[in-house]
Amino acid sequence: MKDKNIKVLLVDDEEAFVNTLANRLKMRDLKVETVYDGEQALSAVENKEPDVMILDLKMPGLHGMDVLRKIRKTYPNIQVIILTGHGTDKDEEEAIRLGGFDFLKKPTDIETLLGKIKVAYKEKLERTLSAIAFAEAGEFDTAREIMDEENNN
Amino acid sequence: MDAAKEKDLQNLQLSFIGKILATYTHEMKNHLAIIKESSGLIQDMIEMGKLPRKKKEAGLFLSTLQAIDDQLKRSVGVINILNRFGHRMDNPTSTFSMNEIIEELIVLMDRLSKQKRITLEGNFQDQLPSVNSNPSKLQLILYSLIQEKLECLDPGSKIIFSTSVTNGSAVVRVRQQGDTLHENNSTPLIFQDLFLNTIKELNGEIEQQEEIKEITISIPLTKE
Repeated sequence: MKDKNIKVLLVDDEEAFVNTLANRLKMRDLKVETVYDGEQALSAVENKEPDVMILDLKMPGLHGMDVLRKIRKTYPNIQVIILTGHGTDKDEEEAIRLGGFDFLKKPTDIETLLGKIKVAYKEKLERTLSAIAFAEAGEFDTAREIMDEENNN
Repeated sequence: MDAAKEKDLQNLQLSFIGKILATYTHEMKNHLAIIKESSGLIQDMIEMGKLPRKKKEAGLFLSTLQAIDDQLKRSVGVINILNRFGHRMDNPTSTFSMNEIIEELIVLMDRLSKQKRITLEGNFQDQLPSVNSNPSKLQLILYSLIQEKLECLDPGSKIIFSTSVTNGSAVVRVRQQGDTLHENNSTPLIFQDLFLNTIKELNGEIEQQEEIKEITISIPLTKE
């Protein structure tokens, strides 16, 4: 698995944070796009679907939890990792219940974040490959079940 | 004020302090996260051999150092304000600048208002005489007023505070620029008994001028 294939969308209203983190992830060969609020995030995924979204919760306008809800409903293949300075235990439970892949609190280590991104991408890839393999073997029902399970997560 | 109302007021004050602390810690986590990522980026540049050799190639390096400096200054600014806010409660009555207690609220509520896309603005009279009263209760009153407006104003609105002195009283005018999202037919929180009694206890007055969407609070410069 090559890191340079992983497309990441960073969503946070702190521009200095987003831009610096984007630089660090790019130096680690990831493809990174940045946006500064929830509305921009939803527009960005319409144009180019990332593999992993790193999402803040408290932002002007649309709350991160609402972005997560919409993403899981409309773009179930995107893995969403919450990265917030505001997160309470209740927020964490809610984010995971809504289908968030993981929940990190600021400030976090780059290696911890990178590890989570890789695991999220790997899981997405494995599911897709598994569904393709079943479909190629003519087991369309199983392939469909895998895709539905992903969509329902 | 009777014991039950005093208890209600204390509960409101606790909730107010809790909200300010939660907002402040959120703000600080953001500053620390930027400092951490910025220093991490410089470390990455060193470890990956990407340090600039000439000044003209040093754009990212210098802007990253500048980001650390900016965040430290922002953090120290907020810490100083929070420290001053905390000390307001040292004594029930003290001599203070009305401009300063409003400025504290504007800074400490900056993140809350930005999330609603509403601007808090101060238009203070210079050389305003000091007030001898209870600054914490005044801040609670103003905080409750702002909170209520943040919940009902359209994004893009402004809440403008101005100060002046009239007839031996410091006057705070709170004017809203922008429409309300929804009609609120109930009595504004600030005009409910608990707040009216608190303002009365401070020998102050409150008025509302609906046509210009302005609330005026007057507090005597010296407690009688």
